[in-house]
Amino acid sequence: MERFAEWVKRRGRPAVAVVFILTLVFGYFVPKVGVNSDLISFLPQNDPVVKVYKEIGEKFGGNTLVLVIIESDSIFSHHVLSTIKKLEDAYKEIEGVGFTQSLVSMIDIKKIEDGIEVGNLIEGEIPEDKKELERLKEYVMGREMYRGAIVSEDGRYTAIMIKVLEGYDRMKVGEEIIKTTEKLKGDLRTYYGGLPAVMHFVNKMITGDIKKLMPITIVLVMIVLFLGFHTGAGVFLPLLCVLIATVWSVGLMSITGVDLSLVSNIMPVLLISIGSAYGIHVINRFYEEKDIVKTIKTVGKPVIMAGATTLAGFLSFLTADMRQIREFGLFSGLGVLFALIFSIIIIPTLLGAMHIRKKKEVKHTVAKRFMDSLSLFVVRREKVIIAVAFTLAIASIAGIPRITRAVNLTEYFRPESEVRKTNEIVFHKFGGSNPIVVDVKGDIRSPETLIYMFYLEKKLRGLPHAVRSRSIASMLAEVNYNLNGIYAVPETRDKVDNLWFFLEGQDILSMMVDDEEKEATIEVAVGTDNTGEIRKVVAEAEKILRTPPRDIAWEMLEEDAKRCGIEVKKEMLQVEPPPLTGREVKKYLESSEAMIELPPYLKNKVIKLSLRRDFEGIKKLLSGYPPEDVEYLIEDIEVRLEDEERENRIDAMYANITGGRKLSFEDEKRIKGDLYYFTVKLPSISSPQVIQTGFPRIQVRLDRKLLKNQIQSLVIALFLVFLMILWQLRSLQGSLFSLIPIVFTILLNFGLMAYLKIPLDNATMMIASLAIGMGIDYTIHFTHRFREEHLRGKSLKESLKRTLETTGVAIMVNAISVTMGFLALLGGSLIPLVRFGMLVSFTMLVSSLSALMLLPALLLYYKPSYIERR
Amino acid sequence: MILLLLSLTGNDILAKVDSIMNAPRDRESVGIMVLVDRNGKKKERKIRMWQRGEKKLIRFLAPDEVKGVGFLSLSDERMYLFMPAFKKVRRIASHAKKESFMNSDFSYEDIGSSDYKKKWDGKIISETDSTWVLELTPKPGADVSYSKLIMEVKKSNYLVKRVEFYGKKGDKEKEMTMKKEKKVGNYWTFEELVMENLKTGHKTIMKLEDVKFDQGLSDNIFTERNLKRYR
Repeated sequence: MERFAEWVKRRGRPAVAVVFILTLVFGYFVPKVGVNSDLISFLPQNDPVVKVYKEIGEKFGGNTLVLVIIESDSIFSHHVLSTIKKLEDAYKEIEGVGFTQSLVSMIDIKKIEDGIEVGNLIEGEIPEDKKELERLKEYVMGREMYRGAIVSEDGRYTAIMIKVLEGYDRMKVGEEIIKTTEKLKGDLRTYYGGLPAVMHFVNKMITGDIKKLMPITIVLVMIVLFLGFHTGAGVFLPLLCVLIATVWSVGLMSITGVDLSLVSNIMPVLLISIGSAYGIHVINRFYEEKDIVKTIKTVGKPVIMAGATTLAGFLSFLTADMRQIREFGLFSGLGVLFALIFSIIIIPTLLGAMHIRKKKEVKHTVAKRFMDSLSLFVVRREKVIIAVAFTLAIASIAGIPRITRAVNLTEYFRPESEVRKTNEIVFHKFGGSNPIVVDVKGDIRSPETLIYMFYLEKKLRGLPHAVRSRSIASMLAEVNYNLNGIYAVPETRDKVDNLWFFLEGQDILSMMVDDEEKEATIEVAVGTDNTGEIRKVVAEAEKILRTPPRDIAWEMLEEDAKRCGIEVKKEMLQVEPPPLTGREVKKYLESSEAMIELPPYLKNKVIKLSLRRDFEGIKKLLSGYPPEDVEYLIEDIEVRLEDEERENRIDAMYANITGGRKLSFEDEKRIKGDLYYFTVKLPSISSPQVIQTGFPRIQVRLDRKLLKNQIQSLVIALFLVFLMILWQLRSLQGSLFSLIPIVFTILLNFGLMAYLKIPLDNATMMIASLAIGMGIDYTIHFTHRFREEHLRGKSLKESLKRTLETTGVAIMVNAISVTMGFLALLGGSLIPLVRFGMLVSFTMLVSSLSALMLLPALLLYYKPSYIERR
Repeated sequence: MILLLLSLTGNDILAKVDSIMNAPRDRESVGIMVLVDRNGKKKERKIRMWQRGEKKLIRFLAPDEVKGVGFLSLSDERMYLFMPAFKKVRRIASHAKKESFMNSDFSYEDIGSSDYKKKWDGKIISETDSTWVLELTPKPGADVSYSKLIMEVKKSNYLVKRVEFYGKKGDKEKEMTMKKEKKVGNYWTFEELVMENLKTGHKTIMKLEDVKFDQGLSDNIFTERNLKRYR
């Protein structure tokens, strides 16, 4: 240390010059630092669950949707609908925008007598007539396809969906969409959802927070420094060091291509608050010693120790699963290291150069008097202090099991923020934007796979909080219903192919099946964002996926009946349908699709023969017609006979099940669809490979990781700090004693979290380790000075008094300045960071007070031998 | 002859293009459509098509998933779909005309009968020895989804060699190029067309084989009944 001090004295000035030049270089790169607001990149990227989630999101385009939500008391009015049209037309002109969908452009497929009608929900011009608008409203709100999907249940919100094309910068397109909307929306209230739009807001938040919070922190720290030192140098020199350190570490981030994230945006605030501490101790000592060499010799070691332990706290994050936290740990750690080095080189050098050697005796009257009474209090009440601390620690430990965890990224935002408001609306009005997704791999077009998917979707739809679902299977069932009146996936491949033809080319298809038809998804919207509830839903979904179906047709029926409050029994399916009348054959023969147009008397004969299934008879009867057409005719008749029989059976079973009760249109459609499977031969269902993904699963995964990361970094930080103190004190006893204040602090931190219901999240998870790294500094400074005084021959009590008067003041100034700096975070936009600021401030106060009170109380009470040893 | 050519206006050329395209009374052909996505992956479809005026009957021949499916269009709003697996014909009352044709880059609008003259105003913007280049702007009130077309027409037979489709914002959205042409009987027709969607990177290649003109196709061809004769 002495050699280093000499070096600083001799070479300080050129070293400082080099630092300043390098600062200009790093400073050049600071504005170029990237900002990454991608919420998904927040996740541990190498985790298999996350990998699947990302893959699925990219493959099926889920991450590329922008939602513009419009709020109005009269959605179905000429004014609102025309605005939607205007907006949608404008979106289509934006480069990179693929398909768009809204109330105005929605394609509507209606079942009509002999087929279907394909059209737009609104044909041609937007209607102005009140009655027509009222009819439209009734129609839309009456259909499960639209209600809750494109218009909210209460009819006050409607969504415009916009897909960003592959190969375009999502965020840019998102920004363009927002700009266009703001320009054209007029007096309508709008909200933006979907990753590309959310990223835009988060980005603004990240840079906005830095611009807003950094000056506040600087001012707060300056105030504290002024109160502590009453000198210009005392205020500006520590600040200068941390500002340079901040420029260096942000500049390094920029040069190495690491982006600022939702976590690292607090780095400047953090470095200014923490880093100024080293300067404070150096200046404090310099004013005492009034000599560069002496100052560095005495205070150098504890300051370096303090910096090293803080560094250890940050470095413990390098083991975290989340990349952002690792990066944050690394660059903040570097920043701390820089601040430390600059504090012991720049401050003494500049102080020496500024000739402020003779400083008027500091009149820390208030501080000194406070410290004197504090030492008196400790001396008199050592046992009380120990007892109170012990009680608090026990109470905190008791609270630990109550700590909740929050991994929902939307909880990152303040309730009044744009992101959060949109999320609430998407959540409560449209059943959530983060559905459970089941990825199915196999031959998707085969009825085996599709019926299994249909079954899974029904089962998953029965999960608690499930509100909506979609998959290629239920889409095909819907097409089948529209074309053939049966809401079920057909049992043969030919039939599936025919229905699939109908969907081909629709954009929505690409969001449910991949191009090769080897992979498909089932999405189930979950209407809760409570981490605990989601954990339950995810576990139950997993159970459904892992349980092979026993009797697939029966289970589907059971599930749908349960939704209508009906308990089905097997005997309800034992029916004796009425005899066939030939009504379907008759209808066919009379239609224009009949292969042969028969005169009435022949029609009746054909019907009679077909009821006896005497197809040879029909052939004979129609021998005058082209034989090929007769073949076709007989095939058609066979199908119509089957149709009639099936219809009769389904009606009879349905009557048994409902017992005459009238079910809603949608319920009837579903149950009759289930009954269809009891009238045909089902293919043998083999369960394909299914994986649960979707954000809920990720949340559960993150939740577990969070706890693991917390414990891991806590243990690492504690261990590293312990080793350092052991190395410094060379006493096991001393090291363990030194850990007491900090362990106490951490316990209190967890206690506070438990009783104030502050959840463990990505940011609060870091506090314990940081508190260890930073809080131990106070103990180090205290112990160093206390031993120094004691070894000079002072009694324990006198040593305490002297320590508190000198180093104690620095510790207090340090703790208050860090606390003040972190309090600036309370004005931040991100909730975990607000909580983070609050808890760090709290832990700094607790750890400084325990270093100044609890530790001396323990030392006075136990009189451990390490204090005496040289 | 030369004098006649010199005096042609853009609109005259459009009228000629229409009349050449619409000259045959009826047409039967096999079409092969290759859909190419932005990654170069191909999907092929084969159809047989009968056409007389507005009436159109399309039968899918390949691949297996769509074989036997039939499509009958009697007018813009009266269309029928035949699903062989269900042995049923279903009427499709469609009002959505701008939808793409069979998942290709052609829209129904693009492949409909030639009526450039009705919807567009043509202006010659340049010419070479063998072609005219026209700029087409929509006639007032015309229901079209492009702001402008640039069309290259062959002087020798009035076949359209190339069309560029411009969106409302003035950016090029699609480009159609005729790759091959041939004369069948008295008529010139394209043999291979490529439609490229510049926005999505998709491409559709349409090849015509076995083209027959003026067979005197009867009304019986364009019936639901005939739609069902898929074997």
